[in-house]
Amino acid sequence: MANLELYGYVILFAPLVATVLITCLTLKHKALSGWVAIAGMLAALTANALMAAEVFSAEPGFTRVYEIEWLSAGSVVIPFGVQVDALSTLMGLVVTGVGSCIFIFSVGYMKGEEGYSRYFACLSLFAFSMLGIVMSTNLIQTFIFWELVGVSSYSLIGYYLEKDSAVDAGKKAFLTNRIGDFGMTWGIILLFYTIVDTLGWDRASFSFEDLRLLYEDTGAVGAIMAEHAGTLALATLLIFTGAVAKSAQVPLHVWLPDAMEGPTPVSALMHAATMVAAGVFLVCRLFFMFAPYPEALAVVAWMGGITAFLAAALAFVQHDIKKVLAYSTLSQLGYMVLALGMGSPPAAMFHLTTHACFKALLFLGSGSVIMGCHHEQDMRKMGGLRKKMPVTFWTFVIGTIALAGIFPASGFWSKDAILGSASINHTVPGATFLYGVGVLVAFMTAAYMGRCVLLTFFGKYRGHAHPKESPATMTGPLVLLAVASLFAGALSLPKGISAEGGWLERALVGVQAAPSWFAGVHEEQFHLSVAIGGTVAALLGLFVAYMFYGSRKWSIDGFVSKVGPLHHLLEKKYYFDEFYLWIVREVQQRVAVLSNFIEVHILRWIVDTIAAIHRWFGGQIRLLLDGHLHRYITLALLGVVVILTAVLVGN
Amino acid sequence: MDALTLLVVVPLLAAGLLVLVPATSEKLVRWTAITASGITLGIGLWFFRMALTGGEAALTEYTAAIPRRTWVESVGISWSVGVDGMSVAMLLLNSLVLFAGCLVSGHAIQDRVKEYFILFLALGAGVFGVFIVKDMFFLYFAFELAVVPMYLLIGCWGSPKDREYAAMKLTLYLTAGALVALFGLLLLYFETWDWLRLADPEALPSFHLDDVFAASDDGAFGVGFQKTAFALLFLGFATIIPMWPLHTWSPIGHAAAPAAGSMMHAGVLMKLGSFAVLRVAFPACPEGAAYWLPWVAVIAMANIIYGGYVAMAQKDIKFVIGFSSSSHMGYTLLGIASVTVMGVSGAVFLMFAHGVMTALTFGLIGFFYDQTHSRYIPDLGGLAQQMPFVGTCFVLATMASAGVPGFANFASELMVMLGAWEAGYEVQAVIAVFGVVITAVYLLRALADVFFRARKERWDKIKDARGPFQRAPFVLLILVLLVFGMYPKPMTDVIKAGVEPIVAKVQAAQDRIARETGEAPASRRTAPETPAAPAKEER
Repeated sequence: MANLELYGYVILFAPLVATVLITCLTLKHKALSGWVAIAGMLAALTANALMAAEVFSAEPGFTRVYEIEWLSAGSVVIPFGVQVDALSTLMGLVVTGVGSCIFIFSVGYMKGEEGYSRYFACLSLFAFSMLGIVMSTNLIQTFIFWELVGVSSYSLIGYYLEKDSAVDAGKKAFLTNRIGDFGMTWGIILLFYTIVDTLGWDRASFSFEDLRLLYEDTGAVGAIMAEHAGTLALATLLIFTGAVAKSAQVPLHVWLPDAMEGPTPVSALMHAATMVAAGVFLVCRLFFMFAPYPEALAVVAWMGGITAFLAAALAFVQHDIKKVLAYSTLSQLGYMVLALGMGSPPAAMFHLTTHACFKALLFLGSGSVIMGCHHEQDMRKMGGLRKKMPVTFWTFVIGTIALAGIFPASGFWSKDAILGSASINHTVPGATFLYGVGVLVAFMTAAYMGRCVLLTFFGKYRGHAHPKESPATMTGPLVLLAVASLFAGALSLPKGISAEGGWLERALVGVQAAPSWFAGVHEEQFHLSVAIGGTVAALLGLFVAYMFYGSRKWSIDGFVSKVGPLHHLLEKKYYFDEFYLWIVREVQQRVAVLSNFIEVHILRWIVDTIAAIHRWFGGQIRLLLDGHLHRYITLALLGVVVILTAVLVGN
Repeated sequence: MDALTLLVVVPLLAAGLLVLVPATSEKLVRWTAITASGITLGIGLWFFRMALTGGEAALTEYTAAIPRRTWVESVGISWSVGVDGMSVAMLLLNSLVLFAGCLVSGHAIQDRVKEYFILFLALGAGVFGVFIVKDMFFLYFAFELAVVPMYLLIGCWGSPKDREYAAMKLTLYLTAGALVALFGLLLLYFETWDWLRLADPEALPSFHLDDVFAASDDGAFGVGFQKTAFALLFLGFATIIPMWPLHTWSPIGHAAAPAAGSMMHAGVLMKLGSFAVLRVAFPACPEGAAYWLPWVAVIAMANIIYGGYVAMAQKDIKFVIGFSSSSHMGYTLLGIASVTVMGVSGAVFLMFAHGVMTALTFGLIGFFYDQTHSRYIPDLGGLAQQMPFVGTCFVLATMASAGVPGFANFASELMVMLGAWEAGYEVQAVIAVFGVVITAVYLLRALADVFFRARKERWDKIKDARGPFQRAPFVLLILVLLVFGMYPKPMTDVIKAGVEPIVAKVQAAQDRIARETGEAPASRRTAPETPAAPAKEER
């Protein structure tokens, strides 16, 4: 086991080494930069695989923490290190596995770009930051990498730095995440000092495992913790704000669709597979903090449900193929958050894993399509690509089946786990309603993905380019990810299908704190009714899409005219952007201008006036001293008289 | 001669040498300045290493071995220097910025090179003086030594439009501030003399800080006296920090100064105020500090929020950074006001980090301003395409300033927030956290509008930083930020050791007040182990 620490640090630092090497040495040698980045990623993947071999063969709940002191002052100590357990290993595999595919895909996709080396440096920096979150041992370290992920995302969304839309999208992503981070910082500090106030300095810590001990304590400490449930739940929800921003949940979701301005592999890696899943990962990591507070979990569940529905609806009105996938990502993240709220982190992690595979696949597939169509992203100018790009087509279809949750692709199993957890939950108010929303979203998902496939690959080609299949560095990863998308469901076949139940769930048993009220929800069961319901909804969705866009028996224009105002609302994206712009322009900027007014016309004016008075006074006195000797003598004599009088009167 | 005195002597000696060098041999002038500042950097690093390996004990031992050199015995002025963990950080900061400033000026200054470097080195010597002296007379003297060259640097080499106004305003403000502080220093001086004469009626007065602190520890300063003296000292020094609303000299001073002038100004000059507060006002008047600092914690909010919003409304990139500086200094004020080891160490660390970061920023702005002759943001744009290296450095500097982890600024601001909360300033801590959002808004906006977006042809003839000579200062400063940001423990340990005794004194005063009023202290810190001597009653 001694190697685990080494593996952990290799996973963490290999991508950073790649970043440094590219920045310092290979900026001018483009091809080399790409391979350095890939080497770094493969090194991390290898170390992660070795780690997985040890961790998953160990007993359930196996956890090792390796820490050094990063900063200390007064009684506060902030550690830094790697935590090796099933959760970090699994998440690490997702990041390094999908990451490797996307790094390799990028070699083909980014060919000939001017900022090729910069791209790979930033991509490696992202991998470092993301793996930092994954391996983190404590809240501050998580926050550090949380912000770094935001920075690398900023640098990659704004990769085309001469394009206004890209620059603005990067800025928007950074600032939206900053608002989430504001809540998160507040939450972390509140949590820490609440423990200081109630349990004393000795118990206070930022480390997950120390905190977990406090939360799981059943003795005196647990009683004190229960006494301050309100404050602790507030702190938990504030930390959750960070997850809301990063995992793009309503109302902090606005940055993700705009983030599609970045190169497509970036969208696949960060804004679909890994970075946006960080919020879900964080809640899993901190699940022991959510579990004791049903109210907190209810907030989480409702937030997830609302996001899943609102985003899925938006996906219908998009014409840009990447935007469809972006809103689909939002919606699927909502699913995961819903699962968390329903008290089932394994289901969320399961869906996170399968979603990482098929959504990365779909994004890379869209990248292949976009490149084939000469950087055309509008689906209205595509069509009929089935014949021209067969590999892309078939892999994209597999991704769609998986996303829609059709048996036996991976999405079916993970979506089933989520719907299952919602169907049997009794603690979240309105759980049954949310379950219904989940089924509805399954229908919508299949429908908008059907629309997307039909518009892109079927019918006649409506563009002006000459689409052709992409090179092997691009189709290779597609095939790999397609295989993964089909079979990743095997990670966690539920009880009732396989004898001993989900492997993944057993591996993650340590994640799920089991407070008393929570017993019973714990185990994933296969519920035939849930599976049938989900599947029927999905097939129905595909059917509706076919009727509108395949056979065109139903008229889409006629439908739109019937639901006019609703359609308008969707096109305007529920006016979220307008609302935020209003705040930025009308509120924030006015405060800025007002402050500037105070600065210039009040503070500076006061100072300048004081100076002016002195100058004026000096000018007046100067007139007295104009060189006339007799006036000087008069003045001097007057002075003597005044002083003498004063002295005499005084005496 | 001890190495501390060398820090003042070397730049002054070099400046003296430059007087003798003919103005035409510019190369010799530049290399003399660079060498001198390089030597100070070496000394700065040497002290940092001493603090790292030997801890605070090594520094105390080193200080103890330096004799007091009496200058004017009858009034009690002596040349006496010393070093602790806090000043080690500041020495390193000043030597770094001075060295980088000399390198930047090496190619940026073409006009009256000799006079420029003479003043620049004198400025550096003055700042070193403030950081090392233990005599109040020389403290004041060294401060003025730093201010006067700054006046000339801005007035002669500044941007033509507003340099006279800016130079005058800066000088008047700083001198006025120093005068107010001088009143405070003189109060301490006479009260200490009274105390000295209690023991020995024939005793001579003393400007030495050790004597002042001894008097303070002995309870010679009454509570009322301490309140007055602290108010004067703080008000005077706070002008230099600059604390809201005494800040109006600062942004325009930044803006009008030549590149290296802004580097020194924002990088180190602004840190003199907060340093002097911690060095003199805290240990001499702990009761006064305990009384006044809650107000400072409130005013710090004005710095952070107001400064941030004013920065948001600026169209001149140097003004953006100028107001940003005064916003960041709000964090320093909050850290100082927290009177916790965490908060005050954070404040000192932030002084270091902000100094390096802002020197980097102004060096970079100066680099392109020398070519564009415009700092007006709407004029600029797309510069990253003409100058990718400078653009990359500027992105990093912006990230550092915006408090992104990995840079020293993040660690220090986090410490301030933690310290503020620890001291019971929960609301202020949350506002400070929110301040980081505001910072990100105006910095990212400025960054995008200056360096990104469409390429502008009018800037096509601009040249990027080329060769090791031009790039070295920027790379050096970035490396420092990254090293201490990635692993802050060495730096924070050094600072912490210097800060602890200072903080303990004020904490003792806070505890005494809490005991007297019978209120529980708002601060959740643990009480120091040995309560300090009770202060004498009002006379």
